Amino acid sequence: MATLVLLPKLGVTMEEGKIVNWCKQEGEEVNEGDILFEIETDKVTMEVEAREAGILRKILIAEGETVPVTTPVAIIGSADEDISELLGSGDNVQTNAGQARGAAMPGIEEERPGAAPKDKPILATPRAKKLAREKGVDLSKIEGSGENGRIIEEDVIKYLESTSAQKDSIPLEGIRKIIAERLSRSAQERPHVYFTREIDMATCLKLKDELNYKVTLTDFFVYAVSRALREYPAINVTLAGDEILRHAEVNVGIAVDAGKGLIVPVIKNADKKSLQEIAAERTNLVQLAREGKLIADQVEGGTFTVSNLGMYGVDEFTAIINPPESAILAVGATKKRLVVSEEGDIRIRPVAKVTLAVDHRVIDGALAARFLQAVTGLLENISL
Amino acid sequence: MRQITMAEAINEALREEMRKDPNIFILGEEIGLRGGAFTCTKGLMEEFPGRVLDTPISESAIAGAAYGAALTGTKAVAEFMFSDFSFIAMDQIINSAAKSRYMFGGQATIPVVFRMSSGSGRQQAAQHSQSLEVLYAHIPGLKVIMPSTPYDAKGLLKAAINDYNPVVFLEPRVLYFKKGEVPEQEYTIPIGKGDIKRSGEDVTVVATGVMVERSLAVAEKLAREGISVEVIDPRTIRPLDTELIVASVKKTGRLIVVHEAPRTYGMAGEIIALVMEQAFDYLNAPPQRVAGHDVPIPYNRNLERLAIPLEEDIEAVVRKSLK
Amino acid sequence: MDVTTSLSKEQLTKMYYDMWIIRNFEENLLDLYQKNLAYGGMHVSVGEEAIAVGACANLKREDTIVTSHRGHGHCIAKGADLKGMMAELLARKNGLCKGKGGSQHIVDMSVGVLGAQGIVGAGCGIAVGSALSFKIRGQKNVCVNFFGDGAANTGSFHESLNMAALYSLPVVFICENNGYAVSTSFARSTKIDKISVRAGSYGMPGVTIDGNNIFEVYKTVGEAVERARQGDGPTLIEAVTYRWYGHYVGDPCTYRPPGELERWKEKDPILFLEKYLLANKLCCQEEIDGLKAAAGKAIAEALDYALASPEPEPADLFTDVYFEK
Repeated sequence: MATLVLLPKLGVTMEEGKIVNWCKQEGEEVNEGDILFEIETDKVTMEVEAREAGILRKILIAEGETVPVTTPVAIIGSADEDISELLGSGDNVQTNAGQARGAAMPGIEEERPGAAPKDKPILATPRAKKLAREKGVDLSKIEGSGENGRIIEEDVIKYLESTSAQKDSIPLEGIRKIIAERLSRSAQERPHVYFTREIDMATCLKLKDELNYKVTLTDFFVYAVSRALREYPAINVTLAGDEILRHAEVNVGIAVDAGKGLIVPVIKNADKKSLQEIAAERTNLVQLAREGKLIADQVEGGTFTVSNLGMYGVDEFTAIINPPESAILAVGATKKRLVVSEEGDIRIRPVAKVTLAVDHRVIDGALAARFLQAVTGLLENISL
Repeated sequence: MRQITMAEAINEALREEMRKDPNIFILGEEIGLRGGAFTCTKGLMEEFPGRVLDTPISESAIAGAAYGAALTGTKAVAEFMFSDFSFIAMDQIINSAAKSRYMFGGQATIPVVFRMSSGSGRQQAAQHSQSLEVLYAHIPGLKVIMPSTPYDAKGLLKAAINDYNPVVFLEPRVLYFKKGEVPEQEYTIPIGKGDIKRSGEDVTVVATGVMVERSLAVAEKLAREGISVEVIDPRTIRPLDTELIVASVKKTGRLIVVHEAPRTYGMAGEIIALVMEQAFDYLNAPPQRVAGHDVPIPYNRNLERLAIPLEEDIEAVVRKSLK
Repeated sequence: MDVTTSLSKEQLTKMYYDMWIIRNFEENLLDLYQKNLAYGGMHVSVGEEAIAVGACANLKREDTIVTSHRGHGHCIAKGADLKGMMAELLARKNGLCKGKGGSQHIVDMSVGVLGAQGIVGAGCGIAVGSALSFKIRGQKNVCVNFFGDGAANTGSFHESLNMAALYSLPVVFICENNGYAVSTSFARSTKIDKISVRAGSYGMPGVTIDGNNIFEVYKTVGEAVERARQGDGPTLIEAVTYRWYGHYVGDPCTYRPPGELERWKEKDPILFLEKYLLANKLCCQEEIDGLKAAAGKAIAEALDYALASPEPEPADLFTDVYFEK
């Protein structure tokens, strides 16, 4: 019996998803477990598997469209089964009895928002047209404020200003949109306070060379931070309304440049994992992040974030706290620096500059400083 | 700066040039003993005996004589009491003066000015109120000037007298006795150069003659609402300062042309066409005309008032263009 | 006519020669017109030569003339450059008007030819202006205005004669009454017999003379010119004559009564002077033939010059609209 494939809800916060790729075409045979399509949520892109076998009779939601969760997106059934009843089931779906098998559904096409009706000319002044031509703006996307709805230059300017972040016609949506919203909200809501200090990385580097498995400096930081967080649970918190929630788990997120945006996969219970385990998990998560294959669970639940830009030669930087967390550690490059020892000798040592940002509403300066001191101690005297 | 009327400014221009050049004479009806129907030539007959001729009511001969004298090296300024009367002289102004340099293969220079009072506003009805600037501006070989201030009238008339081409100089009659700033020292204004009477950013209003002050009043009013109107007076109708107008429209994207003369086949049509040709891509609203109605000027004062653009007409069209 | 005795042989033979120049010029034009080398509106003055030559014989180089659409003869008589004229009629770049004026706008400012006027009657006002110019500048010069009987009925004529008389301007109005305004005969356009009687109503002397008698023309115009030069004002002279070839080149002249042309040809002004020169033994036949041949040669040279002159260039279309410093 033919069934509707619904857009799955793939995380607690997921409300809608965009189908970015159909892996099967209409008429193609589908086996249970086959990757049917890929969706992009506000967090990640993920693959959706077919739950039953059959023929992909109808794709109801085209690539590039965003629909609410549980919206029917396709019909799977046997080759000659009557699916007309199912075609009428979705709110967004219109049936077309005379429709040839496999053809696109014009009913859906017509309802696409933003598409200009073809038979109505776009009224625009020559000045507006000239500007639109120069800036590569599609006038059909602009509401005219002039006489008879005529688009005037000011309308194009306003449109350009409103879309200045997407000059390459990339809509602010998906991951980018969520990054923008989260970070701006974090910067606005959380009074950030910063603590910078130098950490002698000599011991870590020595150990890194000695280990028989591949490890990065990021792994050392995750390792040290997770231990320090266990020692300072007041850092491992979330401010929720009137309450400060202390998290039982120490879940350390790693800021990863996933190509199309920042993503923060989480190493859960890092404090309970060895450096080797951390390194292995980090390797896997970064790989998935770059392939856009992280699942919702892998990016949720973080309680602290480590952002390391040392590999790009950045000496030091400040980071914005990743909500709903309350602290983040920004790690700069480990470089050979002249260091005056307690004995007064000048030595050349590998030093990393790190900056801890904390939400001052919930974390006091002294606490933050002590936490940072603990992280420093763990790294400078690391022993596994 | 001192303030004098446009009539006084014209008188000064004639006096200053006649003092400098004994080769200049003026002729016309009522200009000598009476000093001109509008006092523009007051006192000149006394100061320049033999060079200020009261003529019979013979517009054709006035124009013919002025042209003939100019053709033979004497600078002539002819006055027509009303521009409407110049219809009788048009053969000489157009067939003779305007064309002769060309049809004589460049052998002629014609330093002649045809002064005439222009426009409505004094309840003198259809045969004493017409605005003829475009009739003359349509003629290759003529230059046509229409000042809107005493300053412009003086500077441009002096330039016209010393121009070796026939010039039709239209003086808006209702402006003769309005005062404006005119410096004591001598100056001329180049023919063919327009003037930005008020700078603005949102809309360009090109206006001539009486319509300049009306447009300025509208600009002043709209400025209080934050609407910035640029008012340009071409001053010379032919050759037109196209460059100035086009540059302004390229800036503002909006053009309104205001004139007293009737709308159909009027100056506004010409200016708008020029802007379409040279600045089409810069237009941000359809160019608009605010012009006199297509009627002869009526006698009744209220009807006469309604025959040509009022401030509210200009204002309404400016607002419409900004919608 | 005592005037004949006051003219020297040189003056008389010059007049004879000049009349032949005009006639040859005009008759060559008829031929060139048929060959489409000259075109457009073309009005020739064959039969009227005595007025142009007789009148202009009284003028100095600095004096001026204003003429009409039938003005070739006047321009030649006043000394306009023959070659430049011929080139102009052939619409060439070296023409007096650079090929842009043609027959009706011949001008040669260097000899006081202020231009032919295509608008009937317009010249009267222009002549007033030229005379006014002389008066204002204090120059003892005169302007002669040639026009036809048609012009005498225009408003410009009336306004101009009144103004000229009013200001006592040095202008001589010469109305060549050749019997027709285009195809309308004088009798069908004018109630009075003589245009000259109008002079009295403007307060100037007026006289009607035989326009084909060069002595009468010379004498009458001479007196008027002298009067004007002395500051005594204008004169209206009506010179009665006839145009042999109609209004324009190609005019079928169907409006003429039979025999009219033939009667006027008997009063050929050139033949009139030739007979006088021979009868009074001022010239022998060889001299007469020599003068005719010389006139023919001068026109042939002018024609050669004109034919060798280039056409105007397209860029010439845009020059001379305005004087530019």
